[in-house]
Amino acid sequence: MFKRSKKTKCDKVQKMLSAYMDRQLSLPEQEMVEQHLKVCQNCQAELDSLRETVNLLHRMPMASPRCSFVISKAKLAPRRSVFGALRIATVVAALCLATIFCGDVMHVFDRPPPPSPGPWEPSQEEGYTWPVRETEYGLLGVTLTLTGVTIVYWRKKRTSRESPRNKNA
Amino acid sequence: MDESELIQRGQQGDVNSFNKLVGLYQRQVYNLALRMLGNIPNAEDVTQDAFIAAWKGIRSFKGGNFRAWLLRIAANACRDQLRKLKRDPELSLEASFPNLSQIASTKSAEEAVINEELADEIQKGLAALPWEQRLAVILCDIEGLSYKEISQVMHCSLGTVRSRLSRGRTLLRDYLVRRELFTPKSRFIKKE
Repeated sequence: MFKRSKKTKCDKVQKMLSAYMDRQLSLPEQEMVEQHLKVCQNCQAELDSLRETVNLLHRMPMASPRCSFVISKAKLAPRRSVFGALRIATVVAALCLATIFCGDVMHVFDRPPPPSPGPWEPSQEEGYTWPVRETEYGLLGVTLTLTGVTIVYWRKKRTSRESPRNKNA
Repeated sequence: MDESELIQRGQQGDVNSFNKLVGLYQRQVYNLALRMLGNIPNAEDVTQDAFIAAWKGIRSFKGGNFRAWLLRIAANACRDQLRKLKRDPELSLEASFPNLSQIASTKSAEEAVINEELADEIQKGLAALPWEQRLAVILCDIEGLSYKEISQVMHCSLGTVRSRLSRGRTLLRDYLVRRELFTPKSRFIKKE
């Protein structure tokens, strides 16, 4: 029973040691910690090790920035993201291609049937109201080119982010 | 010209006055970013972004502690950057193991108070802490902020600052013990 209560007291005190070091405890809490530390070597050792850790942190070097961060008009100008524009262009081209292709499959762009009587068979004489096939091939080329450029740009961006850069003030 | 006057002029759109504030605080903001992210290029990006965000939002500053307000913007920028790094596995590896030789190269001779190897281990120990605990420890023990200022930066109560600092310091101490950087006498410190 005694051991258990001592353990609970140690746990309680150890949670307060950090604030005790910084003199952030209330007076009753501070007195309680101080009295416990007089009789508990383990908690005293715990406090010493925390103090040592904090002393090491205090001695960490403050780095000097390699450049100045003053604000200039150039820095305030909105950044034009080539990568973002490329991504949007690729998506738009792919969507246009998909729309035209779906329309082609559903015969939306087919020329209306001739006025002469008889069944009209699009497979025999295929015709469009505008150059659908050429547009499809063109859009396919544009989409593939944009996808390629976007991938190359993305890879370049990744590589440049990984290597340290020199900023000029 | 004192700080409050510079802030007032900055709020009226005087960029030169704001840049004087940048000059006053850039080292502190940069060091916070550097210790939080452990990577010089990312710390530079975050510092610049934080000052640009501060300039854009300076009219919303309603008085009080300007340093805490600025460090809060920087801390939020660091959190955003860490989230971005988490999504990018190749970069997050670099961020988890900071390049202390680069940090050491930027410090002057009189600042070389602990050796690079030890500073490197401490930085790794900081990187292993949860975000809130790391921020609390850096703000208190490296940047030298008071509990009240930390509570303003982290937007939490003094009690929360106390517990985050306590847990952070204990975890860091345990990390340093595991790396055998010092040997405490306490039996309570678990070695793995």
